Amino acid sequence: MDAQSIVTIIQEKLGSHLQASRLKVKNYHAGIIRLHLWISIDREAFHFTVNTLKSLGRLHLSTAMAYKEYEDRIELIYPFALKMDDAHYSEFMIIASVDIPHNDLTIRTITDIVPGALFMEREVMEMLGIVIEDIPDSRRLFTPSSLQDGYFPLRNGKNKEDSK
Amino acid sequence: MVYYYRCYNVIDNNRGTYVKKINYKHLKRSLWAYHMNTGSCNACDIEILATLMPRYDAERFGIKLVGSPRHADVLLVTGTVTEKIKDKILQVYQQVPKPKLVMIIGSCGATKGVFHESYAMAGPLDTLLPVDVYVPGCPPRPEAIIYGVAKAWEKLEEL
Amino acid sequence: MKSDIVYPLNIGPVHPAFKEPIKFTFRIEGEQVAGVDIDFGYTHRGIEKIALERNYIQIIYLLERVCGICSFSHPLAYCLAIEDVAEIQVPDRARYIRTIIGELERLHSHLLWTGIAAHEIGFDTLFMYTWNIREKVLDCLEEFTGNRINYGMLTIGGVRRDITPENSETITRMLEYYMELYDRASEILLDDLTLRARTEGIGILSREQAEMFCAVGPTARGSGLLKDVRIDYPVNAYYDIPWLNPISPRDIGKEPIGDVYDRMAVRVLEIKQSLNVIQFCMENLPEGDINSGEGAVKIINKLKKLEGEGIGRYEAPRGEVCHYVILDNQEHPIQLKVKAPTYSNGFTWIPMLTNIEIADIPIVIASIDPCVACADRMTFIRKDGAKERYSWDYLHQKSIQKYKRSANQ
Repeated sequence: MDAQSIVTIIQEKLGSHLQASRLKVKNYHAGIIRLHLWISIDREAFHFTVNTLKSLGRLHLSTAMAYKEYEDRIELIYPFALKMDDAHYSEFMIIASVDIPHNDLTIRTITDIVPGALFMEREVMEMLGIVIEDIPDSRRLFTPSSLQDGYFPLRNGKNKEDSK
Repeated sequence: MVYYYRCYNVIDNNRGTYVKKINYKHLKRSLWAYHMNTGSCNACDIEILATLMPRYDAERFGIKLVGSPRHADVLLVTGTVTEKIKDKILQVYQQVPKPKLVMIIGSCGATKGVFHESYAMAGPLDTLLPVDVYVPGCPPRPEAIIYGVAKAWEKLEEL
Repeated sequence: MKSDIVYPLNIGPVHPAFKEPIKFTFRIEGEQVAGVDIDFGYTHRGIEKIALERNYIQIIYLLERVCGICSFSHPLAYCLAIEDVAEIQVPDRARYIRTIIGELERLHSHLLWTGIAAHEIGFDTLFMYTWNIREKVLDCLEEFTGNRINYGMLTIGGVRRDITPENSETITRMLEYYMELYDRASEILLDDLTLRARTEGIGILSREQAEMFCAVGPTARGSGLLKDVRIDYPVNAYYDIPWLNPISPRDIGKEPIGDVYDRMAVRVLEIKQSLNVIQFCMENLPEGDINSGEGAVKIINKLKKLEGEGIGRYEAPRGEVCHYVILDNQEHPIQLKVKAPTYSNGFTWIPMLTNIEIADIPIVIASIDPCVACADRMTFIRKDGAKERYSWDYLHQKSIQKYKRSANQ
């Protein structure tokens, strides 16, 4: 399957929920490609998006969630690896990003679709202070229980309320 | 038999009133070690195991890893001491019977090494416990670990 | 045997069965495990936070210290991520050398695991035997790279040391040595009755569970899930090898059920696969440069002017390593995310450990080849000096109370 047809399938499935997408393809010899697709999604449509991606093939949450922090919002990045057929070298990365405004730091859990995401969501909760709704286990993962409430280690302080 | 004899010389300074000088000369040669990982990256740990394996065979000197700190003469500590494990290392140190030696395996236990800026560190270890032998290296080679144990013998003979 | 009495069993964080600090709290019914809770974080070193204060070249050497056993995989994934952002082309010879060193690392890691697994079930002769033959591959790595564990072999855009003709003689001798031993070793590991009795049918992870919990590496392949980054995604020189396939227990004619034996079989077969890959790479090693020839300062200056996001994936001996880097016109990345294999596989312990006997706990825990140092790479910072401390006894009491409560309900 070539790069463009994969993008077309995903665009069709997601429809208007897809805010922006960027494709990066690297060609190796003999038709072997490495494909990275960045997509940004509405927060409300994110759960639907993950469900859709899962229906396309074997979905694997590849790395711990990265994030970018701005003055008014946090951009949460979920890198997925999706494999749609059994051929070798056919796995490609879909890097989905969601904007979460600082005044409402919540997102719905995806552990009901990808149960393996639980550790990553717990990490996001304790490190960034984003509240994951309906998470089955909301305890801390790495930080000790003595860490004070309302303090989130990995925020970079760009939001004005944090620095108060 | 050295170990058996030594047991009678252990004095609990906290509870007992009976104080007797410990004869360190009885603690020679056959050192039993308890290994504790306090946040190391595994490299030192596998080199300690490699030291005990047939190639280097430290057991011919009577050096042996034991499963409980209460059986140990030497506490081998690898890794920088992280905040979360600080209490545990202090407790394990309390459990090792006297006379005891503490050896740091690896650079990061002695100086925090490559992790020196990290806020998650409670170390280096020598700010928490009296340390007798430092084995630097990232990780130290098995020869260096055996040399470190030999240094510990020398230290015991001087005491 | 099941019984009505439910009691908690704490193992760890400091316990001779694990070489690393991790804490398991089991809920035991009679002799069987009814529930398990895992506590991570004892080897937290804050690597991701430190990385933001180092420059691009220093990070390579920092990431070698994420894990002493995968000390090639983590910096490689990082280099691949940076090369992805900066669109740096790696010379062919460097690709092959990276593959060879990576496979040597897999060889030593799998031999190490075999020894540990044998030790956990009380077969110390095999432990000594495998760790003895493992010294040969460490000698080989030492000759290539100068060190037994942390190799310092990688740089952005290539490798730092070349493989000379003398080195290739060493590698040929090493391959012959292992090929001779392989049949005997695989016979002990796969056909020995005692080993089979201790490993078959315990710690089962079904294919669906493996897929659900995003299991990676031999843990996933042991359950019949054919997931291998080397084959799913083009890295290094693997896509030049026509016969490379993901290993599964089907290769020895056994339908995978995902027990400890299957995971062991996968690792034993991967030893053979690694030997074949090294042989292929040595035979087809192309001539040419091993890096771009630029110094560290030049590389940093180039990366300083870049903006973007990159992703690097590699199959470490334990499973997929994935690094996500964000660059923003600075001397250091503004974000580096590290995902280690145990971080993904940690979750699979829960289905594996449920309904097994207490005596099987060590081998089942060891069967995913845990590397706690990798999983705990994350950071925490204290805002003030205030520290609240719980003693071990207090925690133990707490956990007893908790389980008394849950038992009463």
